[in-house]
Amino acid sequence: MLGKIPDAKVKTSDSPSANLSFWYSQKPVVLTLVYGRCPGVCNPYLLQIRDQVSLLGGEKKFQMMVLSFDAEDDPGQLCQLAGFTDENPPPANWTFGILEEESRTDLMSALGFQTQVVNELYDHNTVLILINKDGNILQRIEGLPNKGQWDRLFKELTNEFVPVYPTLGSDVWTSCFRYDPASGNWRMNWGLLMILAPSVITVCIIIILQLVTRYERRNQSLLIQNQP
Amino acid sequence: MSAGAEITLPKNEIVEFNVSSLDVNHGFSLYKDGVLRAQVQAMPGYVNRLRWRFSDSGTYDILCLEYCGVAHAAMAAKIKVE
Amino acid sequence: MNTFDKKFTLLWLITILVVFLVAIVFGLTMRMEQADMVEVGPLNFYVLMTSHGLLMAGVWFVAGMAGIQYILSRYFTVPRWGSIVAYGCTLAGVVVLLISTFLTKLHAGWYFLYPLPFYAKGMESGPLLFLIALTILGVGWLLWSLVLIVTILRKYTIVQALAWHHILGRPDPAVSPFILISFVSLIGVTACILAAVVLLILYYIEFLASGSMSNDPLLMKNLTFFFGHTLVNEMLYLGLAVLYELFPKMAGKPAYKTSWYVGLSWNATLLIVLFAYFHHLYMDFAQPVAFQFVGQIMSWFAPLPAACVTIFSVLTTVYRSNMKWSLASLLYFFGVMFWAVGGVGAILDAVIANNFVLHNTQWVPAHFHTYNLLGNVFFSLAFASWFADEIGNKKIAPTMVKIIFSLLVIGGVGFVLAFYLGGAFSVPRRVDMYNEVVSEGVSLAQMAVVFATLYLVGMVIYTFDFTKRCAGQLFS
Repeated sequence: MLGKIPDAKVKTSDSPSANLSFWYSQKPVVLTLVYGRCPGVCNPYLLQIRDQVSLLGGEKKFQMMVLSFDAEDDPGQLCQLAGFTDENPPPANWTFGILEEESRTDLMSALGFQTQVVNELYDHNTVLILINKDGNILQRIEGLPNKGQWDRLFKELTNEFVPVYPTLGSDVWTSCFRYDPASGNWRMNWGLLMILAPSVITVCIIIILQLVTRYERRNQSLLIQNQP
Repeated sequence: MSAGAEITLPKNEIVEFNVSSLDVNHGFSLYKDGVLRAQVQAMPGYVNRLRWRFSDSGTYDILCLEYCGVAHAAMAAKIKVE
Repeated sequence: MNTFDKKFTLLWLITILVVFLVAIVFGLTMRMEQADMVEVGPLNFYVLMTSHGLLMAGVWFVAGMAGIQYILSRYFTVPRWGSIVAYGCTLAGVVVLLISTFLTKLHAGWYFLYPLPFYAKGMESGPLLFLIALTILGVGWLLWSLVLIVTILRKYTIVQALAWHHILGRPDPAVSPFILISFVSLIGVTACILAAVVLLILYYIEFLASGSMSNDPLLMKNLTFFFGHTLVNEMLYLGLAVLYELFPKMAGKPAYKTSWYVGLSWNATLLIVLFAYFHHLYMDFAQPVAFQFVGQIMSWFAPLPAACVTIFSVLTTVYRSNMKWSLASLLYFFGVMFWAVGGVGAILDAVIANNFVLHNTQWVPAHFHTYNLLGNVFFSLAFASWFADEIGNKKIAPTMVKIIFSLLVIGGVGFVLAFYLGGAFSVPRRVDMYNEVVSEGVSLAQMAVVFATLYLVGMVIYTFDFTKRCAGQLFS
């Protein structure tokens, strides 16, 4: 955590060799590692990430990088693993690339990404990494992020340290604020009413009691006036 | 993390603790040589993130600082920093 | 004022003193457990802790209210039923509370921090009985508070009772500081009891929902401290209101007037005290950051109006006065000074950076025991002393004054000092035993036991003397 990511060499369809810092120095990077021949998790994993990212929006805030660790892959074809085609191209902030061999070991080791060759294919874990503009690893999520982890990831994209994130279930309706990932804002919830209610009700009670006592005083003075 | 597990953390690096609770409120605290160095509440339904840089190596004690029931005083663990 | 007001106030005071003694014994037993002098076991320790804290907060709250009622009744006709209902509810609530703790073994602590009451129980009926106890207390105290507010509003408008005209420099109608502080405190009391109402409703809903509904722990913690922290502050101010009425007379000086700065400071306190409770949630990162900043700012501002004005007033009253130092005036004067000391401890803890290493250590009970044992309790004991001198058969003997005062001060100071040292040594609060990491806690607990015993002896003598001088009036 917060270690510097190795400045790996990457080959993309636009550039035969560029450093990772070329991307993360411009915008925070959300990075994952896959390989094109993967018969297992890579395709569904990337599809879910694609869907989540498109729901959450914020394209200008970050660069989505999908890197293959397999030298046999072609950066131009890799986007198909995420369900993108010529007719449905990836958004402008998506980059697909191949990790150059000299950088592979260092980067995978730094990210805790493990591979094992099984019958000419790779068995591997899945990780999603958030890198800030200084190249520091801010978050590392093993597997597919849950809702809370997505919320946190997107908040930290703008370098804002999120000191807490809720994991409350849907049966809790009494929170004061609820984080809305679509807008990135905190929305007021019923709990706020409950915190404010005692003070507001107190003020109302005092005013009502004032009116009642004034009414009593007026009646008393009328009674006195009307006495013979 | 259970009290019996041994965890070693790096010295002079930022370590992030993600602290939550499965039942009631607890208090995650770090003691070194009997002195409280850092703490954060563990509230059910929330994950509090405490980032701490251990400047001294050695054994740190983790004590629960928020009353949580009869075993509150016994809720303790140790970690090593090297 | 009529005979009923005297007798009922006397009944309140005797009840308060007796319950106080019981609560002290609970606390002393806790410290003895921590000192390895007795072995009651963790369950009983926490049963005692739950009972001790709630009894203390409740007892000294009703003491403040009883004082206000009595002084108000010297000027206005105060409806009796508020006090009577409150007395009945207090007794009933305390009985149900003690049943829930000692019989059903509920041990959720006096903060009863959600969701602990649902976990820290013995019998299944414990949490429900506990909630019912709090409900009974809340109903009685809320009604009483409203009755006293109505009494004030029968004579003054809201604006007059808040002395806004005095802030603007207009002298009429003359509103004494007693009325101003009482009114401000009663508004705060009403607000915090309503917070407890919301809290209890949410607890009842979850209890009856049997698992299909959960509350947000953060909201519940906010409501708990809105209620609890505000209540213990307001009860201190209730005691102060009576001080403003009685202390100048003790010094042979004219009654305090509500100057513009007195008016301004207590109006500020009305608002500040409602937000200061945020300082209990600094270590909950889930709390919105803005609330944390507000909490620190308000906690720092809180002592300025009330404390500084009161300390200044008390010091100038004593300076070159014909003060005949009695137990009442001694307790008032030193109560204010110790209240200031407790305030310094509180302010230090209310700084977020300090709270990082003081939160939930013994620094916390250090400051609030200073506020209570040596501040608020002194105020109420001063009122009771003065009251006993007013209605009793004879005045308290000078030797008795020296003995009681010495025991209370020495015992109280030594007792809280053990807590302050504990906080400085990072000894955690609310533990029934100290492990090898915080072993200093044991010797500090032993020190606390000695001084707490002195305080207890002082209170026993005080109670015995008070009862001897006044109890006969109950039946005359």
